[in-house]
Amino acid sequence: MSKERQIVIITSDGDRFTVERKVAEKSILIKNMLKNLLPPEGEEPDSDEDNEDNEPIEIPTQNVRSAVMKNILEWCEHYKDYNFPDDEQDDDSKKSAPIDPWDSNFLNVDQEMLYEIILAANYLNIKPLLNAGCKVVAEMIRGKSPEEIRKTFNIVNDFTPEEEAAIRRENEWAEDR
Amino acid sequence: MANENLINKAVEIGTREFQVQNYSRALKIYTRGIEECKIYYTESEEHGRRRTNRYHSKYKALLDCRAACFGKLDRLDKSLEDSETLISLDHYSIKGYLRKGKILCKTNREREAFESINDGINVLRHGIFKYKSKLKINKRLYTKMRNERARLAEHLGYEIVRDADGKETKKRKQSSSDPVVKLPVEIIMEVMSLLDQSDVLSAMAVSRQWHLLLTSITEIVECPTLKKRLTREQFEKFLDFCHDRIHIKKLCLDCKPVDEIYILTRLANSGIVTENLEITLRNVTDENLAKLLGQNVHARELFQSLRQLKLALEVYDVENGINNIMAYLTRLETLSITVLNVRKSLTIRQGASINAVARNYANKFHKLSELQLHFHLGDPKGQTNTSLYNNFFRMNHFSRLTDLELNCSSYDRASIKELLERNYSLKRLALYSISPNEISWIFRAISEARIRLETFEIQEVCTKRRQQEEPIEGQDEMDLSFLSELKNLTLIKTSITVRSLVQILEATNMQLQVLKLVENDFIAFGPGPIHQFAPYVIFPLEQLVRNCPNLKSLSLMRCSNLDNASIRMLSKLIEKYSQPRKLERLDLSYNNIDGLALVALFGPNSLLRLRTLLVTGCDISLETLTYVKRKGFVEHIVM
Repeated sequence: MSKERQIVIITSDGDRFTVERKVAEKSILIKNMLKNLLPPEGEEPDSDEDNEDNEPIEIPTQNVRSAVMKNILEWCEHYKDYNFPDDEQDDDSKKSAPIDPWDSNFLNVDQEMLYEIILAANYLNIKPLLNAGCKVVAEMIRGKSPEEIRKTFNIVNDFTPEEEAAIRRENEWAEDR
Repeated sequence: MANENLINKAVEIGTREFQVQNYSRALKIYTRGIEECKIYYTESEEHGRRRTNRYHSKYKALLDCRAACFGKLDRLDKSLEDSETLISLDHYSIKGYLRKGKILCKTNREREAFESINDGINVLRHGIFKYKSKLKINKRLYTKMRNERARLAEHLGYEIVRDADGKETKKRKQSSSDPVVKLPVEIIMEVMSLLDQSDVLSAMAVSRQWHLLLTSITEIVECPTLKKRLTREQFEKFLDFCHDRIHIKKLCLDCKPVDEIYILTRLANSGIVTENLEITLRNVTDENLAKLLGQNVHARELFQSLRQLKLALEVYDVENGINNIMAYLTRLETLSITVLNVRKSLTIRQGASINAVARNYANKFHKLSELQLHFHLGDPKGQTNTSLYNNFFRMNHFSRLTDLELNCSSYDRASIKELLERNYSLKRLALYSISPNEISWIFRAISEARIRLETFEIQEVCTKRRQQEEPIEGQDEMDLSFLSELKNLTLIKTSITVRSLVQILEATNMQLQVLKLVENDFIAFGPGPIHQFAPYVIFPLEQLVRNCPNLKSLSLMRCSNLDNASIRMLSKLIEKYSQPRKLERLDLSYNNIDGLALVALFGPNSLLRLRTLLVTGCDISLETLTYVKRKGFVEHIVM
């Protein structure tokens, strides 16, 4: 019986999260790291292993703080037994596929946290989570007027009225919905 | 024993000194008073049990006054200390919270100020809830406290929300962060790629930063939707919008007729590259376009680099413009041509036109897999476009077609036969405006070419012609094996008979996934008069259910005599055979059915669970539809 080596993710603010291998491997970045450190899953590690191999593997993630990592790991835990299809599906189906209700609920956080999750998913290379995050942001923009978008994100309109009119004229070629 | 007198005096004199702004003196007096209170405090702690009696009644007032003095004297840490002591003594001390908040603000610690005041408000809310009116609070000060919190929240960009326990907490305002600032460009690009053109254009008008960023993303609008009847000015604006974005995935052009040639030329010279062009020309004819392509090298390059083209235009009857255009399109993969009108050549130059036609080679298309020709103009004469289309197939040779859609006034037997033989790997064939007579020989031609169709669509339109001819019969001696791999069958307004339909369904080897039957006069689903020629045979629904176990979509629109009884029958048969199991979409639009039929369809033993149900034009109440939806039988209903 070989004992799985522990995997510990260390966040930017020094918190340590001990995670299952398949949870951690939802991040392709971590998966690739582990590939070099561990035998493939299911395979027995070499019997003449060094003692130090039983020490936990520490993975530092400088760009992700603890509160965000907690969310990321919750997502990974939820999908740990799910194999995502290859991302190389055609654009249109990716575009039209509605966001998964669980993801949608999961990402129902304040914008700051949403962005941090997106950035972390990007950094850790968790494509399905990144895509879900982008979809949530896209839905915040969809069907809104510039003013409504500004309101959603609390953005100050720094155009002069003339500039704004000019932009509207720029788009005269476009078919309204 | 504490000196009551001294304490009262300290409050009185201290306040007087404070009012004349003699703060350091006031401070000394207050401090003396407080010390006296502390004696009282320690004494009372020994006997007192009740918390409110543990300190002297003036102690809080003195602490607050001294905190104010410290504040005035700019000894903020001392002032903070006093107000904190005050709060620790009395959790309901609004003055304490307000003082502490004020001091924290002075030292630029707004966040802490907010937290402190917010905590205070929560404590007070809890107290008010618990003790009701027994808790005496100063309404004016409480309002002031809430206002102060609101001011701080606004300043910090917070929003006050109630959490699950009913406690009021801050939340970063929904609207406090700009994604364009916070997220990297590639993620913004990803977000934009999920949106439609109108959303992207709105986004460009949000702020300077958004505008700058979005105009720099070249793929921002990959498939722009331009205005219909686009003018040259609007097109110029579009070119400005594109500036250095020269690759466009798909471009649809529908120009103002007088600007067509301008826009075409301008497009060609702009350097825009696209693989997919959709263009409707009302002024430029096939001849004009052929000329433009012959003269303008850029236009030629644009058309030659296309992989998909959808062209709608007017053509001349005797010239050969369309075939000359085709000469530039031999690299196409998908082509659709719609003839909007056939113009009579003004100069009758029969001889000349023959010369023009008499090119000694035909265009060969080795990549074209999808071809749609709509040469039918809706006028029954059709003579002209028969020759047009004969010429077309003589001058253009196709050998890799998998998808063919034809709409002609009349079909030429020889050229169709040749076309089918050359394209034996055809998977989809759609024939419009076809007559029953033509259907029989085309069936034979498909079968002889050893084609195995996956999709077959037939639509007859010439009702006039139909009445003169007998309904389609006599397929019994025909080889229907070309239908053995059929997955999609559409029959619209055909005069196919019940017997033929049953034969066709039997020939599909139970593989059919999509079946669409619309307005086929001779297919009756129930008793009643249907057509003068029709033999009185009711379509056996059992054949449909038995032969189509893999059906995913079934459309029975405007069917003859399709009523509640037929639906009940269908429902029973589906139960009996427990198939089709994968049915997702059912279209029963424009039939004489009502709510009872629907209820029958989803009876207690029904295994139907639909994604989409279409019942446009049926007499079904909203209540019934809501019931069906609520029960989970159907996800979407279109009515």
